[in-house]
Amino acid sequence: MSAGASAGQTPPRAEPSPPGAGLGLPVVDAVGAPAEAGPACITCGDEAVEVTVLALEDGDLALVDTGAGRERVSVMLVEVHVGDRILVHAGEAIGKVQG
Amino acid sequence: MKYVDEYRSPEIAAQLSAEIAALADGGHHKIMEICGGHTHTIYRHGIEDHLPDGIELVHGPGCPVCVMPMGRIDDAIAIAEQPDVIMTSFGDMLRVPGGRGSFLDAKAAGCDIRMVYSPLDALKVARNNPDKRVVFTAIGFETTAPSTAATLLRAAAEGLENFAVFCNHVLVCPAVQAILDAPGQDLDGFLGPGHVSTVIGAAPYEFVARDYGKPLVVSGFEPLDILESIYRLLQQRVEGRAEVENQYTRVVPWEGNTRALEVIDRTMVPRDAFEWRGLGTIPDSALGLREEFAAFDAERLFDLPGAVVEDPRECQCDEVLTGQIKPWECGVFGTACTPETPIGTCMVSSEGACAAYYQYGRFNRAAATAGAGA
Ligand code: SF4
Repeated sequence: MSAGASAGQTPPRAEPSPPGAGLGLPVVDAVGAPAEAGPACITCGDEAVEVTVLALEDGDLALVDTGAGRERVSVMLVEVHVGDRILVHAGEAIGKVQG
Repeated sequence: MKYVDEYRSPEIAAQLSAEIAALADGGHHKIMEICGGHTHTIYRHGIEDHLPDGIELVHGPGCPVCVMPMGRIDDAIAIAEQPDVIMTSFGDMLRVPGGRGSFLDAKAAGCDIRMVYSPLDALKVARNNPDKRVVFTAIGFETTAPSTAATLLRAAAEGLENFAVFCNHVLVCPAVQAILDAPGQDLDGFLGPGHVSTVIGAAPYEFVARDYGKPLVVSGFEPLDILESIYRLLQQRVEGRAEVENQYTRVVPWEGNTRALEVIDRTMVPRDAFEWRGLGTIPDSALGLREEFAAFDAERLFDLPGAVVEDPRECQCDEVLTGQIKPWECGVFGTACTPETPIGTCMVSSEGACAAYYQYGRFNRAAATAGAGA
């Protein structure tokens, strides 16, 4: 499982909150979307995945909690500490989530 | 940052809706969301139903799968057909139709094509198959380019000799400029991409405000982020301002991720020009590998047809990608062209406007204005 996947073959992904949680905004269920499809395509577009750093590993890698499981991602491009929330895109951390 | 800490509060959603309606004041405001992730959020949460009639959201070119021209798919398949090649790419890429079919068709015909979740996974395939040539077809905007760049650096450090990248990374700003330069363009403002901007920052969009006099607000992906960004765009219009604002400060630093920009610059260089589906050929709009990484560059290692392939006649993706028509106005939308049997690229990725409309039941004007499932 990884932080880059496609709708249709997507593993459950990290979801910061239930969609539209408490907003009073409706969440429309996708018609004809495969049942296991995540809420958005995260293959390659702009929507990256927010995850929490569990442990730092050799080779600029980190073990992270995606909310749906654990995976190993590259943290070559961000300064991270255990417990940080980071934004991961296609297996690479590209930014930190503040606050 | 009035709303940032409370971006999921229902009270604020209602309040924002009301404030947007007041600012819109019955006028017409045409706003383009550049990013396919925003398109998806807008339909998933029915955000248009919370906006006054005068606000028209137009979908931009920010879905990397959607802007891949057919000729590049054919090139990628030509690589996959070479002996001892294992082709790897993201799941969505496998279904994108080229002039001679898709990766999936090539796979059915016997090519070794594998879906990966990241370029790092492709590197793993290369390590595990030393007697094969493993190629990763890289696509995406500046969001994904750092991942490819970092993977190239890892491959070089390891001295891996059987790994190559077929680079199709594209740049967001030249595409926005092409849209602004298009004849008849009548946009009033932009929602700027969120995660691309994590990498490039908000500063590169300043030309939109300075040279074209249009406001741009870099926006997050929660429904409230989008509502707040639309509110800020209208506020600028009402006050006669055109500026770049950053609504998504919780992940977007104004100057971007300098380390990511540096690894992109170390491994890649802008191409003179690149063909985009729907937008045509745009100068300096894509990245190729630097000379120093020639040993990893599939374009240098393989003979490519490099042909320009016309889109199928019935396909109107170009008009969808430039906001001229809504997906349901395309003649084959939902009939010959569906997510299962895409004719055009916009139906492939769930970030594509056609796929978003299809999945959320916006099959025609009535459904689109009444709201999905309503
Ligand atoms: S319905 Fe299909 S062919 Fe028509 S614009 Fe959309 S993706 Fe392209």
